Amino acid sequence: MQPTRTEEHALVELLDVLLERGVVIQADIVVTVADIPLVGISLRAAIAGIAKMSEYGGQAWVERSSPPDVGPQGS
Amino acid sequence: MSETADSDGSTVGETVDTGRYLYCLVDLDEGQDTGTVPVDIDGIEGESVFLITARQAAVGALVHEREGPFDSTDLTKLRDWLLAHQQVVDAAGDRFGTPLPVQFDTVLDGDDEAVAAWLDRNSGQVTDAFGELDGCWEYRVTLSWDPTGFEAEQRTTDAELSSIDQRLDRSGTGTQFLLEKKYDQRLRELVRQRETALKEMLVDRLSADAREVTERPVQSDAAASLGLELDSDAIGQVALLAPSTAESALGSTLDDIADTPGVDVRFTGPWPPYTFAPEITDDG
Repeated sequence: MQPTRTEEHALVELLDVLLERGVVIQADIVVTVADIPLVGISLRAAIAGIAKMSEYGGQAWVERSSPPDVGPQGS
Repeated sequence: MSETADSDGSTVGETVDTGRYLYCLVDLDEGQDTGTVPVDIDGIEGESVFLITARQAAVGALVHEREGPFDSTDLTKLRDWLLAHQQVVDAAGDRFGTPLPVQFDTVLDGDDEAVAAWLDRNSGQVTDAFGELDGCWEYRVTLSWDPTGFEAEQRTTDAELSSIDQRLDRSGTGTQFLLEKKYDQRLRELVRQRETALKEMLVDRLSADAREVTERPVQSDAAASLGLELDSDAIGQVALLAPSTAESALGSTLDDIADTPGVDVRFTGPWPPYTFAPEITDDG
């Protein structure tokens, strides 16, 4: 088989590393948000909040909150 | 620090007067134009991406002008930003070879000169990282397994399951309940053992052709949060670092593994090596 590379794959497979991995730069030159570097507070809060809801049986809430079209998105 | 939300969910965190959103670092040929070089790649929200080169080393940074991190409570917007970030890094890889992908939402404080100076200060670390990656890319393999056939087989071949089954036939209702529970536990244990064996086989066999193999969580909360469909039968995922010349051998190995009853394999890439990227600590 040959490897495939689609936009949907990119999101499903790379989302975690886009947020948490990749080159991490430790430098004064990096703009931080209240000493929390890099990834925005709302982004973290949104994802953490939804994960929490899901843990407590809020799957329906997750489905309502999720974008209706999960297919590849153009930019 | 105050934070405000726009009507579209975008929020504004800390900002600077002049900043550069950083997508990735690229390895350049000697003799590449230096300074600020336009590149024909659209960035997040259609921003114009350009290349800033170091003055004393053949490395550069793909950036666009930006005064603060991207942030929003609108999940669709977040997804589009992440995808746009990834598309820039992909385009950089097509043009410059394996890039050093930078974590989403990294904004550097300063203008083009400040970024060039930062590159110069850290060109040793950046050059070493390119040397270690040596043109390799990241690939992902997701292993899925439907245990239905395995369970049916174990019901007839496993001695412990057969023994419980025989005792069930001559037990009263109360004991039957306990034995059924024991039966299910044994079956689950056998399935778990098989899953572990399949994952170990995957890592062992891929290691023959990959530079590095590392296991990843099968499902990320972040992906689920953004409404992405995940494979419910997935039992394991690995990220591997390998040259593109190894694709054929890796694909052949995965074809063999996919022939295992109940097993399905998804092979994606080549991706920028996010999982294998280093940390860069400012030498300045």
